[in-house]
Amino acid sequence: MSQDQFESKSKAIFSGLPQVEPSAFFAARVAARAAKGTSSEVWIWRWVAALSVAAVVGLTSYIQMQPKQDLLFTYEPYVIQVDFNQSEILLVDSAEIELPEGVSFVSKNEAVKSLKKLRLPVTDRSKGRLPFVVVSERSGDVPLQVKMYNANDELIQTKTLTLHFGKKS
Amino acid sequence: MGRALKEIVEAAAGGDQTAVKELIESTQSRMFKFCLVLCGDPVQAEDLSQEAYIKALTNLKKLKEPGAFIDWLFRVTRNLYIDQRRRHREQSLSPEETEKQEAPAHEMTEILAVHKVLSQFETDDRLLLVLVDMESYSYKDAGEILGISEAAVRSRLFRLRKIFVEKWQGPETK
Repeated sequence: MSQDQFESKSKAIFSGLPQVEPSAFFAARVAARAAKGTSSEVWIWRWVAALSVAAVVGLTSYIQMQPKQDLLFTYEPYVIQVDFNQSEILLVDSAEIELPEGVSFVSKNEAVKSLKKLRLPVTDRSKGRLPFVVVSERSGDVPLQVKMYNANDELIQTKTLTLHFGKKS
Repeated sequence: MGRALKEIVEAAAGGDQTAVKELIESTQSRMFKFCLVLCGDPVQAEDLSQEAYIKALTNLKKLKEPGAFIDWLFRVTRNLYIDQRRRHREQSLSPEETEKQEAPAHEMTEILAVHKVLSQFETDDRLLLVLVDMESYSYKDAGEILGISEAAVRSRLFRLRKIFVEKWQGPETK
């Protein structure tokens, strides 16, 4: 093959590749992290329970109405994601999330909604993340405590995630 | 009709959060494919994309030419990718372990096949092939991103394309 033929063939291989997209809400998630100043351990993005039209409309209005200071609104559900570092990924088997007064878990299960502590298994280590959904009636700084346990049920780490909620005007 | 990229970048640099999201949405497909070809793993590719966007977005005011956002983003990605490879070299999977990984989504299989061939090249060589032959960068612009001369791009590409095509076709077609 000549130089031109190798060039054409190489370009043809690449041009035959399909378009791919990152996971859902990638842009919203990254925009939120960039707005928060980045290296936070918590990634927060809008929780859309189902891909319904209503949810999409809600998300759009959220983005348009989002004030500069408060990233999270009271009375609105959010996915909170605990990131594990490399050593934690290897050790953590489950995590217990403890909520302060005025903050509740969001779940289809009614019993879960009334809990103040919830223990969640780490089912997918490859992601290194543990997501859960909360809603807050409180505005201001809201601390969430996360206790990490190993497979022997021993406490190996405690973290406090502080979220800042504001009232939607 | 959507805004021009330059306009979106300027709005995003001015703190418009809607523009930040619009900027990501308008470039994420290209960016994710770029990272996926380099990393060969959707989770790693998304993490790399995310870190690159955050780094680029938090320094957006430093970008002198808003129209060159993508070039800048690729340059940031290249630096992060090199750092990442350096950091994770000892943890990288062997070819046998890679085979055992979860089957990728159908649309990704071809991209991962290209990655498998590219993974046999040096980091900057694979970046050069992807920038010029996938992203259609000129030799001059690709050279600027990688910090090498246009002449070096030309001579390296000649060699790289030959090896890449031969490896892609397999030994039976040589």
